[in-house]
Amino acid sequence: MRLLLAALSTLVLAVASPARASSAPRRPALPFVEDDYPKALALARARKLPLFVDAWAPW
Amino acid sequence: MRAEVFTDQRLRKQAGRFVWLSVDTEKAGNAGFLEKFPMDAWPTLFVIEPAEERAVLKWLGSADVNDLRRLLADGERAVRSTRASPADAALARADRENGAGRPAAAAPLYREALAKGGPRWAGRGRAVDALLLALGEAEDWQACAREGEAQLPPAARDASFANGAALALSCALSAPEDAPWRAAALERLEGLAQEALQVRSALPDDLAGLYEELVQAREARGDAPGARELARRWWAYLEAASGRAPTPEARAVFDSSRVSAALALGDPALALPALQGSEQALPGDYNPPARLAFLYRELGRQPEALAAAKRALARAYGPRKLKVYDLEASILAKLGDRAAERVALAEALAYGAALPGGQRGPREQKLLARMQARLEQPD
Repeated sequence: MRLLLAALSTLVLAVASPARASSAPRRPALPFVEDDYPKALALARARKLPLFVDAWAPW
Repeated sequence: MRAEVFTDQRLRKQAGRFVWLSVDTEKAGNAGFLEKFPMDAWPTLFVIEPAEERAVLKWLGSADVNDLRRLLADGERAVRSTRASPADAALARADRENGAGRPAAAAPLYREALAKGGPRWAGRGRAVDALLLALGEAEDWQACAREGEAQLPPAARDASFANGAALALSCALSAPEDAPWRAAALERLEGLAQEALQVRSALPDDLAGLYEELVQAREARGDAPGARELARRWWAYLEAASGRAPTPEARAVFDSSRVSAALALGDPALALPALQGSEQALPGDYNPPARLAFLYRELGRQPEALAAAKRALARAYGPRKLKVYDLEASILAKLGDRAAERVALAEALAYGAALPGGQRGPREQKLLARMQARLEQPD
């Protein structure tokens, strides 16, 4: 784990986190819903399961 | 995590325990999520109780497979409030406070969990890291550094220890330079961070980040030769780690550290070949050309810097595009082209004004205010 608090960054672009894979990534092991919170929330309510969210950014 | 952790097939057994959502915080369509669940560190992992839409666990930073398994178990416990040991129950309460955006209130609950769990508690490493993160988020730098000094020495030398050492050192570095406790804390925490560099189970990019904290600590203590020597080791580590990376995106994980390490060595050109390689391998990603623009600017090669910034702008989206505009404007200023600089700043301000509310947080507002001030400066 690495803390990426923006407040701790000293360089706008040099201190950053992993880049977004724009070429084909390896197959995900988990069935992620992509960028659709309402859909994921509705699924979680219907299935009575907690919702896990990976909130990331391409930087 | 997207390149390395979520692709790990050992996680397939976890699939039915949660509904899984991936949120690119730069996309305008996700602004509503950000309004409900504000964040200022990337990645941030949430476990959300769906009936009331409450974040019951919020984790700043990445996690390896083992960390993630632990987070998932703790998240389930925080949602369901089912049978739990006193320590795990206290940890769940702490996670719920932290998830609700109250890190200062969560910190004493994490301490309670640690006290109840004792030295052999399986959740100890995660709880120590969560405590340090909560204190860091609350900007209680001294308490964070002190907890690191108190909790880490007896801990197992595992990935949590490495993460905790980096967090505590970050906190000490973030404190005001004239804080009377800072220098001694930096020295003690530097020792722990040095130990953490030997942790084999730590994520490679975590170790790359740890080198960065250590170099900054040495610089803060006025040890320029020591900082330079460590930066050389950092660079060698990055070369080896990226050489082992199986895919271009896994190699690009080290790009930001390469830039920082090259700067620490006083040789920005050192990072150019890797960044050029990343741009070629990841043509849709704005990061490599943005980093190249930054390096060229530092090297005084402004025409190349400007061209790279324009390539980055063509690919960037979301709030981070503001940073690329800011970079472009700074390059134009170095070129002495005030008219073009003003155009770039005006474009950035219009772009920022059009961002949805959830994507225009305090950081973006601050950046926009700075660009507005530069635009209004007399020629």
